[in-house]
Amino acid sequence: MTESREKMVRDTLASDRAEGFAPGFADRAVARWREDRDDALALMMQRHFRRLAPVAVAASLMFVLLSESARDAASNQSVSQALLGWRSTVTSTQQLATLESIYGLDATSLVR
Amino acid sequence: MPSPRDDSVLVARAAQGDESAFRALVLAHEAALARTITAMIGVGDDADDVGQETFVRFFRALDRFRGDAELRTYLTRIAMNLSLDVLARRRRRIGWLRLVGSDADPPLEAPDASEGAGEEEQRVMVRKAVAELDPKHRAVVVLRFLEARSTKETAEILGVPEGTVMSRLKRALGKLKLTLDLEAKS
Repeated sequence: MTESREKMVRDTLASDRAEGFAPGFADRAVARWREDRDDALALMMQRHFRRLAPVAVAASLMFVLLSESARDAASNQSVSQALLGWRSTVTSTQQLATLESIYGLDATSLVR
Repeated sequence: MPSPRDDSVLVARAAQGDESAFRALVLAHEAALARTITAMIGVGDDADDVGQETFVRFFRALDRFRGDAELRTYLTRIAMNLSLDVLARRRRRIGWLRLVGSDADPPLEAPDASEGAGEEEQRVMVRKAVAELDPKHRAVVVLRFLEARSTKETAEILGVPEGTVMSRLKRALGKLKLTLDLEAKS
C-alpha cells in the first residue's frame, strides 16, 4: 500500500474514533463496579454455603444415626434425646382407635 | 497520562473498596480506552458498555495483574478482547440476517454511499474496506497504525506472538489495498 493510502486509512480511522465516552461515563462505571462487587460477595457466600451444606447435612445424619444406635435400653432414650432433655413418648398404641373413642362417646355409659 | 506509580497506588486503594480511587483510575484512562474501543467498534452504546466492562473485569481479575505490565496496556488488552467479542457477535447477527434474507438491519458500519465525492468519497471507501477486515486484522491495524504501538506491545495486548502480529498486519494491509483498488475501479 502506498504511503498516501496508509495516511488516508490512518486519518479516516482517527477521525471516526471518539476522544471520550458519553458524559457521565465515570459515574456509570463506578455504579457497575459497585453492583459487581455486591454480586461477587453474594456469589462468594453462595459458594461457601454450597461447599459447607453437604458437610453439615452429612454430619447431622451421622450424629442422628450414631445417637439412635447408642439408644439407652433402660430409659429408651437416644443420646440426642438425652442431650436435648426430651422424654420418650409412646409412639404407637396397642388399642385400635374407634370413632367412639375419638369423639369421647362411650356407648356403654349411654346404656346405663 | 498517570504514572505507573500513581496507578499502582490507586489500584491498591480501589482493591480495598475505595470508590474515589476507582473513579480516579476511570477518569485517568477513559480517553485512551475510548479511542481504542471506538476505533474498533465505533461510537455508541456498545462502546460505552465495553468501556465500563473493561474496568469491572480488571478489578474482578486483579489477582492476575502482576503489576509489571503498564496498567494502560493491561486495560487495552481487556478492552480489545471485549471489542473483538462485540465484532464477532455483530458478524454472527449479520450472518443470521443474511441467512433469513432480511435486510432490515444492515451492518452497523455500512458506509453511506451518498456522502459526497472527492476526499469524503475516499473516506467512505476506507471505512468500507476497514469494516470488511477480519476483526483480528482490524485489531492489529488499530494498534499498530492508529495507536502507533510497537509490534511487541501489540503482541502483548493481543496475546499472540510478534510474528503473528506482523503476518496479520501484512494480510490486513494487503486486504485493504485490494478492497480500495476494487472500489477505485468501480
